[in-house]
Amino acid sequence: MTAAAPAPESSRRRPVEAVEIKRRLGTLRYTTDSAEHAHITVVPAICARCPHSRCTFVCPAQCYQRIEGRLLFRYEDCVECGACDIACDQGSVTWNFPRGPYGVRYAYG
Amino acid sequence: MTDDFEAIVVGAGMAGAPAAIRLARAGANVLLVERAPEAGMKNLSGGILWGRDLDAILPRWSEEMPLERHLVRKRFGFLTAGDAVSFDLEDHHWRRPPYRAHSVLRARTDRWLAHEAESAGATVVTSVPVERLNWEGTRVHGIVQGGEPMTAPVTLICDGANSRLSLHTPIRPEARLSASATELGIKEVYRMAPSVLEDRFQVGPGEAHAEEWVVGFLPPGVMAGGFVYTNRETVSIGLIVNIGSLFGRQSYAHDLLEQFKMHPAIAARLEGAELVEYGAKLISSGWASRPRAFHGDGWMIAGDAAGFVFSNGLVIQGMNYAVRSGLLAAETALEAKSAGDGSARTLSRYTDRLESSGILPDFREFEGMDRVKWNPRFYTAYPRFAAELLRGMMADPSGRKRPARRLLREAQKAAGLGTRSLLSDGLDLLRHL
Repeated sequence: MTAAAPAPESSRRRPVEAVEIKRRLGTLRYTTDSAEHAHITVVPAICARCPHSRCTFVCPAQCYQRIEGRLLFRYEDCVECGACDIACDQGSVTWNFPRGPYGVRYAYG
Repeated sequence: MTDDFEAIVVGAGMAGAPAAIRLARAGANVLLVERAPEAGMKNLSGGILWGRDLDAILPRWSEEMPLERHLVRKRFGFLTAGDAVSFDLEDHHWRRPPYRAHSVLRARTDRWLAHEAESAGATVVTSVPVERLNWEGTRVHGIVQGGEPMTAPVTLICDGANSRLSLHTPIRPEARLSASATELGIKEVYRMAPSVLEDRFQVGPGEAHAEEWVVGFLPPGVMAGGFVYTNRETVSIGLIVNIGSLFGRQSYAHDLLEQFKMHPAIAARLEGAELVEYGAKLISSGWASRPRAFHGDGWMIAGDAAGFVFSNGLVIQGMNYAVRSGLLAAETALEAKSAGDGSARTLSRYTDRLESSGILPDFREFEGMDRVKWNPRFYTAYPRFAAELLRGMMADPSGRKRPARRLLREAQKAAGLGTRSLLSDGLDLLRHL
């Protein structure tokens, strides 16, 4: 599900590899806040009957995954972009910035 | 009651930090509030910083600021599944100081800018995500943090594209940003030895190459552009996708960046390079993402938070507008300070300045460009059309010489592009570009 599509046929060699999203997220440093202070929350009952799960497609950090019909959400990998808040039209996502020193820390940016 | 500060600036980015520097230099008691543990750590951009707007406050910024490289070449092009059609702009003036544009990495530049603000006398606090503006009726009287107000007669809202402070307030009454007027930028940074980088991107030491592509081979309906910018010893590669165009496509945004990166025209130059960082941010969409107003009683809004990102397909610029608008807001805050009046009447000078400086006219005049920029044919039919037409003209696949009008018809057919669409899109482009 997370692997990128193969390169167009015309590329004979494979000069650079698609990097699985988990490995890409692995380049980031986080200071993770405790779960009761998660900066984004969802309402599972709303997500359960969501017709489109847009969040799973827009989130660049794969914080949202639909697995066997259930929406799994984890705030820990969030890069704080805000795309899920824009995508969710079901009223499930409550979005805030992380508290104080928590969340992602870019070294390059 | 006396206020805690003479001005509060929220957000140590390209709008907020220069504003704080300007204010502090003029002797104002200014607070710069940043949510990251260190300024820059939450900031991300493409990014090419165009122009020399920082000259106004930091005459030596281009020597002292940790910039990456100065731009000597800008490429624009279309990608289809297997083809690339592009053109380059190389202006010989770009090779000599004063340089016109620089590649930057924001964790570095913004940390430096915040440090400059501190040296200038601003109070800089980090690790503080401001809860909300301190609304007293229709007036903003500073900010609220930890349930406690921190007051100032004037507050500069520079909290970026995902401007939580302005949402759900009179500044932006809606509960969330518009999906059709907001883009998602996803970026990867690859480390590469400078000598390899300079060889692969055909630039000299200290020189940057920038390229921006219409990505024409993504799932139909997905509207996205890609970029590659060279830094000192890294390469920034990213995809900018219209969020609304992702809806109902069953495509993962993070996979789209990989598809762009794996295109033969892009991938070859990244061979062997090590991925060192991944990140994403929202991108405002100019006039379409503007707030209700740019100033009011006790507040002004600048930078990405005000929607000041100019993008028409050929150009995407945000940081220069951030610096310019931040400085104009600071100028106006100083007038408010000497007048002892932070009311909307005094701060209306900020909106006047946004007009007279050309910022608002830039965005207003190019509003129609959104129609061109978010025309789905631009992302599917036209890349194909351009590739087929040029192949016919330059590479002669049939082995026969054929007149241009026949090649044109064949390219139209291959791209599924009717003459009526071609003409009306062409007119749109001429009218709005």
